[in-house]
Amino acid sequence: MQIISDYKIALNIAYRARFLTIGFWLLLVLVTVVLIAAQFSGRQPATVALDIGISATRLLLPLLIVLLVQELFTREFDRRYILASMTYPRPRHHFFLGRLLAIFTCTMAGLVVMAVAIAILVTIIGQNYHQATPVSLGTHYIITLIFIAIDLSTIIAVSAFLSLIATTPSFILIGSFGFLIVARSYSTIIALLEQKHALVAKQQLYHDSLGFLGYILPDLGALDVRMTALYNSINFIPDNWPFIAISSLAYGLFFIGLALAILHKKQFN
Amino acid sequence: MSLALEFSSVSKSFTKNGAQIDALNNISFSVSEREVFGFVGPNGAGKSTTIKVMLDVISDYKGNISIYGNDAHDASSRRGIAYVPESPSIYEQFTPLEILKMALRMYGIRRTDENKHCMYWLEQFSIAQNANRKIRLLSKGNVQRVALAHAMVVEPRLLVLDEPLSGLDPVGRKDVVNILQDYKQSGGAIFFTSHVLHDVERIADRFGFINHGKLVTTRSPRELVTEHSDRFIVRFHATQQPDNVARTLREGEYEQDISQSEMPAWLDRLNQQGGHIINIQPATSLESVFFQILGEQGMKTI
Repeated sequence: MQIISDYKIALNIAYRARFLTIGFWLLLVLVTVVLIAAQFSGRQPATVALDIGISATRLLLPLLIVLLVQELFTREFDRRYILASMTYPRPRHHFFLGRLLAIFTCTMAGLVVMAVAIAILVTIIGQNYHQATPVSLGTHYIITLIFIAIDLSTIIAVSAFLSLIATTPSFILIGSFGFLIVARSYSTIIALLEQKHALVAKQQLYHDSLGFLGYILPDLGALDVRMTALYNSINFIPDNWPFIAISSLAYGLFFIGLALAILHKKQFN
Repeated sequence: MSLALEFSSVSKSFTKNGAQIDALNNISFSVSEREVFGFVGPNGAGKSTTIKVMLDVISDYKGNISIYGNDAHDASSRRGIAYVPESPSIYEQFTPLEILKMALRMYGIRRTDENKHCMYWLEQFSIAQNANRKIRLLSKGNVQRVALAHAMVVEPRLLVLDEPLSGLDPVGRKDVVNILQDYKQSGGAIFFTSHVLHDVERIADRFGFINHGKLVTTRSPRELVTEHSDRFIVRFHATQQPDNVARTLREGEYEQDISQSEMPAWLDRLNQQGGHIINIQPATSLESVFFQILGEQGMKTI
C-alpha cells in the first residue's frame, strides 16, 4: 500500500523533530505529578496516584497531539513542503491519512507508555499501605484506557481538521484545547445544574445553552470512566457506553471526511 | 512522435481585492517526447501557474491538460513527472541521501541498489560529499542541487523545472546544463521556465513566450530570432583581407555583419576570392527579440 510510504515518512519526520525527547519530558512531568499527588493522601495513596495519573495523561497527550499536528501538517504548509508533497504521483488523501495514522500511532504509543508508567508507580506506592478499596490495574484499568483512546482519537481528528483551515499555528492549540475543554465538561456541568438548581441565577438558560452543545459536540466527558479502575467496579461504566463511544468515533470520522474534502478542494495558489 | 504534455484551452483566473485576474488565458501548447520546451515571460506572466495546474496543485482550472495521454487531474499521470520548484523547500532535518530515498518511496520505486543509485545522482550533481549532512547545513546552491538530484533519481520521462539554474554558481550552471542535455539525449522531455534567456537559447528546442496569462508565441529560438532579424554575423576564412571588414578575429579569419538582402552578392564575392564560411548566426539575440515582443505587447519592463 502506497499510504504506508506516507506513514513511514511522517513517523520519520516526527522522530527527527525530537518527539522522543518531547515524549520523555511529558513522561517525566507525569511521573513527578503522580509521585507528588500520592503524598497528599495517607489513606488512599494508590487511588489518588492513579486518579491524578489518568488526569495528567488526559491533559498531556492532547498537548502531544497538537505538537504533532503542528509538525506534520502546519509546518508542511508554512515551509511550503506541501508543494513538493502534492506533486508526488499519489492522491492527496494518502498524504493526509498517512500523517493522521502517524499521529495516531505516536499518541497511542504515548498512552501505552504513560499507562505502564502509572501502573508501575501505583503498584509501588500501593505496597506501603493496604487500602480498604484497592485500585484495579487489570481489566478495569484497560477498559478505562480504551475509553481514553477513543477520546484522544476524536481530538486527533478535530485537531487535524483545524490544521487545514487554520491561518496561524496557535489556532490549532486554541481550537483543539477549546474543543477538548468544552466537549469533556459540558455534560458534567449540565448534570451539576440539574442537581443544584440554585448554583447560578439563570439556571434554566445555562442548562438550555449547554444542552445545545450536546447536538454539536460529542460527550467526551462520558468517556472518562476512571472510577471503574479507581474503585475496581464495572458499575461506573454508563449504560449507554456503546452509543457514547460510537458517537465520538463517528464525530471523529466526520471531521476526517471533512478534512479530506477540504484538502481535495484546496488550491495551492 | 507522441506528446509528453498537452495543454488545450487552459484558463485559470484568481480574484484579488475583488478584481478578477486572468493568470492563464486560453493557453494551448504541447511538448513532444524528447523535446526541451522553455517557458519565458516576465514576473507574474503565468509561468509558475502553468506548472501548478500541470501538477494539479491548482486543480480548479478550465480546459484540459494531459500528460502522456492521461488527464492531469489523475494522480497517476504524475508517475512519469518529476518537478523542481524555483525555491526548493526540502525537509531540512534530513540528509540529501535520505531525501533521494524518500523520493523513490513516494514514486513507489523499489530498487535493490537503492543506495548506489542515489549516490550516483548525488555524484552527478557534485554533492556526494554532503550525502550525509543535514539539508539545513547546506548552502542554497547545494540545496538546489539536491532538489535536482531528487527529481532525477526517479528517472522521469518528463522533467518540470521552475527556474532550474537560479541560485547556482557558473560551475553549477554548467554541470546542470550538461546533465539536462544528457537527460535529453537519453530520451527525456523537459519543460522549464526561466528568466535567463541565454539558458533558454542553450537548452530549449522550442519555447513559449507568455505575457499577462496569454501565450504570445511558441517557436524555436532560431526561428524566432530569424523572423525578427534581417542581419547576420558571418565568420569566414579569406586568403586576403576583404574591404570594409567588421572585425579581424585572427590571421585569415574575419567576421562581418551583413543584411539578408546583401547576403547573395556578398557570398558570390567571397567565393570568387577563394574564401569560405565558418558559420553564420543571426545578429539579433533572443533577449532583444524578447524585449521587442514585449514592447509590441505594451510591456515595458521584465
